[in-house]
Amino acid sequence: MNCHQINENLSAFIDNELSSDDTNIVKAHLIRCSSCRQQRDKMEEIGRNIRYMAPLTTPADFEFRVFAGIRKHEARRTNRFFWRWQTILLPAACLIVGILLGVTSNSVFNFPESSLLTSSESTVESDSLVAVSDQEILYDYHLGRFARRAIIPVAVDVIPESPDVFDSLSFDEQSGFDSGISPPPQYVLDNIPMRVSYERTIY
Amino acid sequence: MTENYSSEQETERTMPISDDDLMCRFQKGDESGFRRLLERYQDRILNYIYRMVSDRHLAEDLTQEVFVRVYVHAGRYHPGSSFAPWLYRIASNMAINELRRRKRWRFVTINNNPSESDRNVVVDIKDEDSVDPEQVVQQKEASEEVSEALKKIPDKYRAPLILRELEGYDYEEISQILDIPRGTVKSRLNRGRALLETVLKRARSVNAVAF
Ligand SMILES: [Zn+2]
Repeated sequence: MNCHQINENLSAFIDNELSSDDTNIVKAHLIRCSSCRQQRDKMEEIGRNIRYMAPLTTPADFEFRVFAGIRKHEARRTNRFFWRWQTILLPAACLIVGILLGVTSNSVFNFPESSLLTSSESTVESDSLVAVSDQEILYDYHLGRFARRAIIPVAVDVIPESPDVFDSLSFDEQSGFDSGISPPPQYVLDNIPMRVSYERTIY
Repeated sequence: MTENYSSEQETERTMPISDDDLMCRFQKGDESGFRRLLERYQDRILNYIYRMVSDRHLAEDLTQEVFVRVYVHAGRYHPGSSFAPWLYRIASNMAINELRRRKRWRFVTINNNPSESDRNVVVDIKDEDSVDPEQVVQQKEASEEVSEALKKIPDKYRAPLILRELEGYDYEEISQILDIPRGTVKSRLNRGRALLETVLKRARSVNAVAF
C-alpha cells in the first residue's frame, strides 16, 4: 500500500476495524513512514478532544417532563380515536336525522372552507414565509368541541435545502417514526433566530 | 411470591439487569423497566443529540421526545435484540429530521463571525487542581475548538463520528443505528476525521491572524 491507500485506512486502523492482514500492513507502514504516523497522531488527538468535550446532564425535572410528554401523547391519541369515530358516527347520525326529518343536513361538523389547510407538505415562499408543516384535529376542552389545529412555522430569509447532504442517511420512512408534531417555540443558532414557530388553532 | 421477589433483588445487587430485560419487563406492563432505562440513557442521548443539533434546549426537547417514543412504540422493540442501537436509531432519526427541517428554513447568516465564541472560552479548573492546570486549560481549549469544528462539518459525517468517539460504538453498530452499510461507515469516518482536521487547521490559522 502507498501512503494514499494507508491514509484511506488510517481511520479504521485506529478504530481497530481492519482485518488482521490489513492491520499488519498499516503497522509496518507506520514504522517507516513519518508523515502517515503524523496523520495517525492527529486523528487520535481529534478523537481525544471529542471525548473530552464538556458533557451535559439532563435537568432535574427531566423524568417529569418525559412523563408529561407521554401523557400528552396518550391524550392526543385518545382524541384522535374519538375523532375517527365522530367522522363515521356523526355523518351517519346526520343522515338518519336527515332522512327522518326529510332535511339534508351535513353541516354539523364541517369546517369553513377558508380554514382548510393542506397538511404535511411544506411550502416556503421567499417573502411572506408562512408554511404549514402539520395539522391535527384535537378536542378543545375550552370550546367543548373538536377543533383543527395547525402548526405554522414562520421564518425569514430562507435558502433552499440542499438535498445531497442527507442522501443515504435514512429517516422516518424506514423506522416509521414520524417527525415530532410540535417544534419548540424558538431556537437560536449563532445568536440569530432561525425560525419562530407558533401554534394557531383554527376552527 | 415474597421469596421470588427477594431473590430477584439479590440478583440485581450482584449483577445489573440488562437493557433487554428491562425493556421486556416494560413490554409486559412493568413501567419501572422504562424508568430504569430512562435513568440509564437520558444523559447519553442528550449529549448525542446536543452534539448533532448544537442547541441545548432543542436537544433537551428532542431527548424528551425520544423517550416518549420509546414508551409509546415499545411494542416495536424486538426482545432479545440490543436495546441501545434501537434507542440511538430513534435519537438519530429525531436529530437528523430536525436538522433536515432546519435546513429547509435556514437563515442566510449575514454576520458570520463564529471565532468570537472561540476566544471567550471560560475555563474552570477549580476541581482539577490535582492535575497540571496548564494541561487542563490546553485540553479544554482543544475540546472547545473541536466542538466548534464539529458543527461545521456535514451531518452525515458528524453522526458517525460522535457515535464512534463519544459513544464508543463499533462500525457494525453504527451501521445499524444510521442504517447505512458498514463500508459507508468506514469511509464517512475517514472523511469526517479528515474534514474535521481541515476545519481545525483553518480555524487555527484564522485565529493566528486575528491575534
Ligand atoms: Zn505513508
